[in-house]
Amino acid sequence: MHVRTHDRHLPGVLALSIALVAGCSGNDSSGSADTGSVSTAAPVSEPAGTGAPGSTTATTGTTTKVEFEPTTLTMWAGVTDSEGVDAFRGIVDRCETDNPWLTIDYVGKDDMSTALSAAIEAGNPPDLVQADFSGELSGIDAGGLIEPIDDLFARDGLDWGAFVPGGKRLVDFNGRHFGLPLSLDSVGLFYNQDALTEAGIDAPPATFAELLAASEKLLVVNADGSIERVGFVPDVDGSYSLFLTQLFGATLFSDDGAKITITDTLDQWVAALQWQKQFYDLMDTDQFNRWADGLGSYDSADNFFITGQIPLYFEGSYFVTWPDRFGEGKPENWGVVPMPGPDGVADADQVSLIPSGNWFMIPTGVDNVDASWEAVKCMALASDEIAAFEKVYGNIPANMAALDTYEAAVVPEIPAIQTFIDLARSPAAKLPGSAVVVGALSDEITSLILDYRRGDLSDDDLRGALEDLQARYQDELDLELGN
Amino acid sequence: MNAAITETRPPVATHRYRQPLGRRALLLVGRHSVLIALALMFALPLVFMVLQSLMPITQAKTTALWPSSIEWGNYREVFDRIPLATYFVNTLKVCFFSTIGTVVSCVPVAYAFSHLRWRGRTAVFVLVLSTMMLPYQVLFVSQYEIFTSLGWINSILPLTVPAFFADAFSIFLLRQFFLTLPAEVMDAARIDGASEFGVLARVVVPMARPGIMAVAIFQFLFSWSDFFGPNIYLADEKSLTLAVGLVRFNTALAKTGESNLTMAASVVFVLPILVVFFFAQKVFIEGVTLTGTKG
Amino acid sequence: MARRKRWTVLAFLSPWLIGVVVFVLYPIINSLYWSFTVKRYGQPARWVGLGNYRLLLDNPDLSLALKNTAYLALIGLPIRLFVSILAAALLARPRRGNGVYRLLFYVPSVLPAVASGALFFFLLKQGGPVASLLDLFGVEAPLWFRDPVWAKPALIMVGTWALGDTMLIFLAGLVDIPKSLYEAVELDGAGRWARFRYVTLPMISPVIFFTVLTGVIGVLQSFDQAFVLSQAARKGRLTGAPDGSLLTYAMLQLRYFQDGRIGVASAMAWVMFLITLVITVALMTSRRRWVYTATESA
Repeated sequence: MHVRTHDRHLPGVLALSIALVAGCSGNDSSGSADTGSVSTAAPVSEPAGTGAPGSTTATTGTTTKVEFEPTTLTMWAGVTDSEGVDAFRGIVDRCETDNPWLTIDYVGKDDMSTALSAAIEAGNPPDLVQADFSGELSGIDAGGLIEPIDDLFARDGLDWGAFVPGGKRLVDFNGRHFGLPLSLDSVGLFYNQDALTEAGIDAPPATFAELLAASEKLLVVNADGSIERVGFVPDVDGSYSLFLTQLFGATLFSDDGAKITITDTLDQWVAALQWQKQFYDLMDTDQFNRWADGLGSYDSADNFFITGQIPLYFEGSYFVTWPDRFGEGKPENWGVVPMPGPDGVADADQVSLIPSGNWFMIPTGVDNVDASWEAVKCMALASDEIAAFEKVYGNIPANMAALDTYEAAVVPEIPAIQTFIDLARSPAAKLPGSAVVVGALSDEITSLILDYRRGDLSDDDLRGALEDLQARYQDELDLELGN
Repeated sequence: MNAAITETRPPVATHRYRQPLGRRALLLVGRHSVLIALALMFALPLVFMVLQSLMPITQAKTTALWPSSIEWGNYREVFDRIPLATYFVNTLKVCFFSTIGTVVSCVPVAYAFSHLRWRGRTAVFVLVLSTMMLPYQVLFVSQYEIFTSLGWINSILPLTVPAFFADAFSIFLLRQFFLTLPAEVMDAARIDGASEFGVLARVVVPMARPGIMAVAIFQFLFSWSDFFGPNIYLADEKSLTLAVGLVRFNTALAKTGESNLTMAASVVFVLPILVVFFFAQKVFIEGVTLTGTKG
Repeated sequence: MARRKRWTVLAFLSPWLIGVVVFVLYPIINSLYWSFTVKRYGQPARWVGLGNYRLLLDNPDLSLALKNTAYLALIGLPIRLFVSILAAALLARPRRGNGVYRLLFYVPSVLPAVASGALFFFLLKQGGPVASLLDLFGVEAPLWFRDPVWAKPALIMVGTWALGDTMLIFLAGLVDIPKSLYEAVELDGAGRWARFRYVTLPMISPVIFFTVLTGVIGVLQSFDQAFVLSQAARKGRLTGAPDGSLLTYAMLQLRYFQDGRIGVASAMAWVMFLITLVITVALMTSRRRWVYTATESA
């Protein structure tokens, strides 16, 4: 009982992975031809010598199926709840059937990051991992925690066209790929058409100007000054204010994670934060705080979107089930549109912001990289099973074939999901950068955003503070990377 | 020496009986109403938990406080959906061994730091305390390494065996209790020819029962609600503890909004701790005063 | 010291000695070494001398976190201990019904920080029960966790509410006090206060010493409650919102842990270690003046 404080409340991306959603009920898909055909495309591999399962030789051109001795691989997965695990079994079973030599020992791990760090440091990692480590890629790269799969990928003649572009970017750091993608989160603007109509607005806003105008029209202030309804704010209690700065091209890091790029995009940062501030400037700060403080519980019928207290709400795809699940059909008329992009116009093909996603990966130091790779490859390509799994779990499949199946099954039930599917498919899909200081810098810059929004800082102060952060974090990054 | 320990005095403060009856009754009512009000404040979360655990699902999604109908079936559903019995047995196993281990190992160490005199005692004691001063997060990965080299991963050994090797928190707490025990009683026993072990077992332990009980309760509760350790060290679904099982169950329920089942599971999780606490405190508080006092 | 005596002491200490050598020494030495290196799990450490410590001193949030933590230790901890002693004193006697009261007072401390945090959000939010109550008296409820002035007092309130652990320690200390001591001072005509001042307080002073020291360690190392409560204004990020008023030392350390920067996090741990050690030694040396021990009279 030495110390009672355990870091089980790790913030950030973990929160998103917890905020999962049951998809919809409906037809379970069964096996398809897709999976098999892709995995048989794997070229040669000689059966191994004694004992250990085979190691492969990269001989291009041949197309013999990889042969292995019977092997049991331990997989750690971030999916631990019974419903999710049952659906995940579909993917596992499929790969065990396709690869008779393979047995997968499924181990659910909450707090994956901590457990995996310990296991890797102790030299005893699981054979493969399914997790959501978005934003941690630079650290994974610097620590050499995960095997880059590029050589294996090329050897087996796989094609990134099998995955949506955002899926490739999800596992990409500095040109190397750390596994194969499973799913993407995507975010869009939920609108309550009933409230819009009442305020005299016919269609959801498609430009920055329309968004601001709609917010002004939707705002309802009582006679005593208290707020009844807010139009749009960049975030209510979520963590989207930092995320949304990407709309203006503001960035934190260079692609290789070695440079802080705040001052390179200083004008974009200032523009992004000025843009966010104008929505709060429509209201009295104290009254807004009182209104926000009085909001009902998020996971209840008193959710602010359901009650109509916020008719324009920026949120992830999982939220599509909220109106039915908690609101008993309220609000009645609602939908989702993409957020306007850098030029102020909404266009799914132009701007798609992906906060995070899930993928399969091979930890460094596993007994048999080739065997782990076969399992990773098979699972990431098991499209029908992935589609069925994501229906339960609520994210957007990263596998193209799975996404088609998913689209056909889910859109008829929840039309609004179409926007998220389009966003995830977008060739321009964008993911936040990664560097080994990402968490701490995000925390500090979020504090700064809050200060600026409250009116504690002038624009010049803001520039100064951003420049300070740039200088300090570049020093930290240099120390950390040994530059 | 035995006489000194078991000498009992009537635990009655006679002055109470001198107060007039009416005033006594008034005081009693006053005291209880204050206590009831305070106790309610402290028990509020439990009340909310129980009320919500009995709600039908449609109501659990609202902010209603009082169940519109009492659904005992929620509890049956929790039992149906998670292998509570298995988790319960696993958890008890960990709690039992770690609690026994802590008490057995910490009592002699605390005795050496309170009633044995030796050079460097204070300095070594500060060393003991210093092992509490580093947060768990910078230590656990190295410990995981040790457990890996011992081949203990995927077993309850990392959760139980270290308890048999005395932790600073429990040593410190026990030592503070031991310090209040009168040295004369122990000296008397030594003069009677008792070994140090005999003094510890027959004099110190009986007198320090409340303190030992408190340490046992703390260890039990810590092991019961520990999520971090079991999540890191256990792999097999069938070996999981309640704390981990509950978190996973709640993750599943968060997707479906069945907060009534979340609450029912939480009640099932918290109730045994409260039962243990209730009987433990009864034993050490009422037990002590009945068998007498020391000094 | 006789040879046999020395072996007795060693035998009594052996569980701890073995435990430290096997389970504790290696992790402690590792973390000290790491504090002078850049360390990521899975990768060898790289020596940077005092680089991590210098980095910490450059962080303007360090003094803020230290100030917040000192506030919680100097104001929050005494309040918590005082209320715990009061509760324990009220319930120490084996009166009818006291067993149930003790149980109910204990409830909050078995709940996870997330659960109690959620309850307080509900109780304290605008339009919630507490606000309605204050409204009856014509008082406008503060914004608690969204107001930098009120956030720390509210945090202390939640911490004090979960006093079960400390209360239990004091209860065990109180029932340990021989009745004969009370009777002795009663013969001298001592009143309630004198009994408390001259018997109860000295007799539980070793236990108070324990709760003060572990309380300080707890304040320095814990972040759960502050993290949960600062979420009223900010989900997911370690800002210590509102306005950094809930940014504690351990929360600042968590900023480095989340990025896997074990070197800096270890440096923070060792700064914390030194602070605690100084406080411990100060308390130990001053203890003769205020901690009663039955043994050290000789």
